[in-house]
Amino acid sequence: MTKQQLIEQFKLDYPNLTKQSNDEIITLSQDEYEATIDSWANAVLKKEAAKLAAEMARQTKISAYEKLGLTQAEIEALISTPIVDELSALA
Amino acid sequence: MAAGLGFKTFNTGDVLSASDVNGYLMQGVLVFASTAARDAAITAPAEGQFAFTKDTNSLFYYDGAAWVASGATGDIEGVTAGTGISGGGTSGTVTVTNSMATAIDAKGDLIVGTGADTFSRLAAGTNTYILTADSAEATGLKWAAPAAGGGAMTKITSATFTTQSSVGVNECFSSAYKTYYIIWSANSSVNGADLQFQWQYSTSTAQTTEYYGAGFGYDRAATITTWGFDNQSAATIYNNLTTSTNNSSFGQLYVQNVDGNSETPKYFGSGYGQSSQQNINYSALNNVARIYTGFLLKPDSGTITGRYQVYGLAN
Repeated sequence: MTKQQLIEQFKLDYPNLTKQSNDEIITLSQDEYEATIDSWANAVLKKEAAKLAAEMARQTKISAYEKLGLTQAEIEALISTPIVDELSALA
Repeated sequence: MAAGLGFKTFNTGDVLSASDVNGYLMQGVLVFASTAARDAAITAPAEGQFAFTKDTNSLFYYDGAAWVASGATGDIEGVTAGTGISGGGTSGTVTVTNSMATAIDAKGDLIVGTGADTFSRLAAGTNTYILTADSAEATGLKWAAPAAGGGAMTKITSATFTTQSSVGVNECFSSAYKTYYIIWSANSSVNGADLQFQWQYSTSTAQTTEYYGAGFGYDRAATITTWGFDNQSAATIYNNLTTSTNNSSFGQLYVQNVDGNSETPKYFGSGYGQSSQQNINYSALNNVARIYTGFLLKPDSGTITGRYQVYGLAN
């Protein structure tokens, strides 16, 4: 989704927004509302970009391991198994 | 004047004696110009005798010893305001007002004695302050920050929140403590939303620059997730709130250096992340040292529902 599509979807899902200040509930002003929705859209896009970058890095690693002649099982083990698990297996 | 003899029915031809006249006929209500005229005319009143004085339109009866104003003119001749009361009067509709009540101007006001029969208004103190005796004060009392006790952890505030875009906790930090313990619990309307944290100063102004920190979660699949932030507008406590209302994520924060000294404010904490049952840890600082008075929780997208508790730790 584009940022504009995200904004439109958020506005549909949240036609009004409130904030809490101690025990008081306050409806956001129009400027606050627009700024909040905009920041939400930016946050979603930032996370999607980060996920894409992580997946690309993963694919790069897989390609490199494949060039080294490792099997798919070996590659998967190298990529997904945390170090902590390896240590606990030794214990 | 002879004493009243009661009631008698006279018959035709009866001869009135002096006793009859004095005992029966003279026992009506006698009318005088004033009490002085009455007393001059009746030098030896009889018990039960009535007299009316025209100057004050008053009715009196003689009780055997003195003239007594009859109840027909009203027993209450006036209402006088006493201590702590204002108003009053001697005729018509009378209003009296509680002066202590009218001294109250706002929520939390106290009425405090300032001396014998005097009082003054004492306005509510700062949040979390306690009422303390102080003979130097006109009222003998003042609101003051609670003294830190040995090893004590004092609850400062707590609240729940539902579907809020942000939750500000104002005025929870003061000079009373150097370290605070915050417990949070939250879920989000957007799955995977970050739970963010900002310091607040000047009651409710959010600090929106220079956050540095990191966190990680270790989940049931033995997968490690990390997050970091470098000079961002907010700190991230947890990066994966869920929408599960029955299983919120929750955690704790230890906070220090919010009192504006040379050190910058920091937090460290740990908690439970509902997403894949993560064991989460997080820490952050803000690079701007100033007197911070509270904090703000918010999601990076969607709304949050949950609760918080804030405690002060004795210095």
